[in-house]
Amino acid sequence: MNGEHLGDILIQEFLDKQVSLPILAKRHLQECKQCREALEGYRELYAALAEADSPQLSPAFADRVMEQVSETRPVRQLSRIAVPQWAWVGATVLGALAISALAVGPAACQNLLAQFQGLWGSSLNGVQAGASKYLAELNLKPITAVLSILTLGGIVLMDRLMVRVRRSRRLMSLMV
Amino acid sequence: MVDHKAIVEAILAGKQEQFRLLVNDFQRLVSHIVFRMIPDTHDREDVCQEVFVKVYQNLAGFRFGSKLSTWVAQIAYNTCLTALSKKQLAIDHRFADERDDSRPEWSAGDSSRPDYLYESDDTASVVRREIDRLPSLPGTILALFHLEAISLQQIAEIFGMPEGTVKSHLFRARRLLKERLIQEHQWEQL
Repeated sequence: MNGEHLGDILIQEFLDKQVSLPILAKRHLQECKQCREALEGYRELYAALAEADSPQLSPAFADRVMEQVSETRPVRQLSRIAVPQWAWVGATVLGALAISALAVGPAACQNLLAQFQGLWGSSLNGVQAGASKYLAELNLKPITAVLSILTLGGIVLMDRLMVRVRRSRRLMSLMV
Repeated sequence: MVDHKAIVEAILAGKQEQFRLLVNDFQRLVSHIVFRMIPDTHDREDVCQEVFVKVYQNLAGFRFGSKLSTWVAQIAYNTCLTALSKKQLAIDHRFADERDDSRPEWSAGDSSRPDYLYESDDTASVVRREIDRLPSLPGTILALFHLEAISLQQIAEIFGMPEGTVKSHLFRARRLLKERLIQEHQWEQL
């Protein structure tokens, strides 16, 4: 409400059925001729808008569009399959593991596999002990660890980049 | 009710003629946007055509994450922006003031005189003409809301702006329209 009177905004929101009039406003409306006229004026505007006609395209418009599209085809997307986020994360982790395995060599991989088999049924303490043992046996060189982290980072970065490329392509299709 | 998903699937399966159904369904929506954003009357129909060609070409990328009408309207809006920037029109349509100030006076018999000036003075024509005189963005929002019954949320999605901004454009457009109908057309009933 604008001071004592119902404002334009409240009247329009009321007619748009976005708000119901507060009791005070209803009471005011019964007493105030100016506000009743304003409300009635907007009601008539809404009714006039419902009668307004639309811009007219030429009758042959649809034919011309069909003629033009007959020379082209809908652009097929590279992939219609939506890949869920967890699949990307899983693929990234597996990729990082595979590259790390290549970096440390087959002997270390066998060790790793044996450790996992041993750890599978053990308790949390056993897991910690097994992990420490594995790390000690692996004799992981700092450069290998750095390379693994860099590889993992690179894969995550590539994944994000691909998401951005796909998003840009979608935006470009709307803008160009 | 028209099943847009089935139509889109049919088009993608190669039934190109089905696209005509979409053209017929959305040409009013597209023309509301294009006719209000493109000031040059000669370009409007070409821009509408360009919109539908883009819709057709990009149909495979539409995933029904939103209504098809919202997506089509977004393409119409962006195509208008591109067309305006191509013509280097220095119009900031978002804040453009009284567009009719720059509209030339048309003389009788002028072949370039727009059709709407020949139209009758019945309510439908008068209101349409006055909507056309509104600044382009509020006028488009008002037309979509009242003439196409598109929700505020959908309009906000189309123009990529908050719903509150859409509302304030709509309220402003209605107030302006009401004032003009009273002042210039002596609509006493308003």
